[in-house]
Amino acid sequence: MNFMKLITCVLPVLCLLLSAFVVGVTTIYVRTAFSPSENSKKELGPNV
Amino acid sequence: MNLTYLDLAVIITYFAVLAIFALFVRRTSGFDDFSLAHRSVPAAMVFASLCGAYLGPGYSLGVAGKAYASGFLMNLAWIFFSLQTVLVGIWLAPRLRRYSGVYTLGGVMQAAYGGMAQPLTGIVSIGLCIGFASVLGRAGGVVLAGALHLRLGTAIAAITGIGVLYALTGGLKSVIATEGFQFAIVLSSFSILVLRAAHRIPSWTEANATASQLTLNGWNATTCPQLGGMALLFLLGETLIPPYANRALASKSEKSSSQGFIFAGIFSLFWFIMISAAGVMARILLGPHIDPDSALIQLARTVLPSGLLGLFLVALAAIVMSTQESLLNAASVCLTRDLLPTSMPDRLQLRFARGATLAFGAVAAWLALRSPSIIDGLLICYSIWAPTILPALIWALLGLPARRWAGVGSIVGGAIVSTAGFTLTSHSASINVLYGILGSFMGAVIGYLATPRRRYS
Repeated sequence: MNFMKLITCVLPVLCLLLSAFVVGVTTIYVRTAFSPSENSKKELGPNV
Repeated sequence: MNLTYLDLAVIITYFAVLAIFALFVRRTSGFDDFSLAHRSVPAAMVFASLCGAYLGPGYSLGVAGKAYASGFLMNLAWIFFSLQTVLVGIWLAPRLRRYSGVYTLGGVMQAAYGGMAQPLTGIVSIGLCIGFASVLGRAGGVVLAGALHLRLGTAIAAITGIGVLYALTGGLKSVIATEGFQFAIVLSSFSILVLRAAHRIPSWTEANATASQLTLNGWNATTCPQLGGMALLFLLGETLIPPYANRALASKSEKSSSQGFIFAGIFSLFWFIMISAAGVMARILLGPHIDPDSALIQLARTVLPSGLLGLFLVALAAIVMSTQESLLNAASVCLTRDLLPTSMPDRLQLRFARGATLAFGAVAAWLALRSPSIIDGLLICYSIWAPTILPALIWALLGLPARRWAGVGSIVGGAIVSTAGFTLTSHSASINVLYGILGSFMGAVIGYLATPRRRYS
């Protein structure tokens, strides 16, 4: 198969799948890292 | 650049969502949370945030520009960045994670070489982070100013300001979370760009021939020392710079730290190939007479419809902001831990770190307006970091026998020689790195001999 065709067709599709995975794990991370129970640990509050 | 209302709506929505996110993450439970996210970041997020941090304008617009001019040739140099990231994942990142009470690279140096090494490492780290952040601020400002017809100063202030806002409020935790989303935006929009450009290629046989010819022309126009010098810069220039080291320190375990770096290194290899292919397609579709650095943006204007072009510009802003906010967060943590008394109460450390994030953001924006050139700025940062900090840091992480003044001598020797190299001579950055590393080793030997044996051997 043609090298240019291979990389311009296969890699973007793999990257799209990876981006969906990254959105998933980041959403899970945000939900756990910023959950009220996590924030209540020694909370200092919004003191910006 | 002519944008439709849909493109503008996408861009404005993105900045608005980031500002709202900054409000959402404004609560932090102390300095440990602000600086290292409670050392609880899983491997997948180490991977995503590391990719978000290293994918700056250089590894997107720069890679495509080089491929537009010389095909896949520069992949021979970029592969050393991938190799470096994998090797750090195998050997250095897990060792860094073992320092459970340490917040910065200065802390690692202090543990190995004594007190003086920490403030010296802190000063170099802060200078490097602000330098990098200003160079990136300028790169992002130029793109945003061109897209929205803003003044450069306004565009730099907007790019830097939003990043500062959530780095200031949520610390590393919010930086990592936004980097994850920004990395996903970059991945999807660049992938769509490549897919749509591929649809317009008239003949794949000719495309292959063009790629081969460009690579061959580039090979004939480049000497082996030039290519070797670039490879050296990509191998050492960004190794364990403070924002990357922060990911290793903040990871949940040694295994998470190692896995995050290894997968980020492997991913970069495929990323460079895909973006190089985009550069070659820009050459085929747009001809040989455009500015190589604008090849990817011109390609996007040609092949992306309204809305998706706005998303692509958002991705360009994202690659700048995700790197910039990591640098500002790392600089503020370095100031608080390496240069200020560590006996300060937690609440005070948090306030100092937040104040420093704001101040460093303002300094970076101010410097961005005066930065001479993006590539020159990055090369200066590379040629200072590698010889000044890396030799002593790697020595310490590998657990080799260390003496107090050897570390200080290595930092001072590397700093003097590399700074003299780019201010007093016209050598290339790679030659300066080599001389700087030599200066670092000489400084280390002098320091080693100067350390009283009975106390430290």
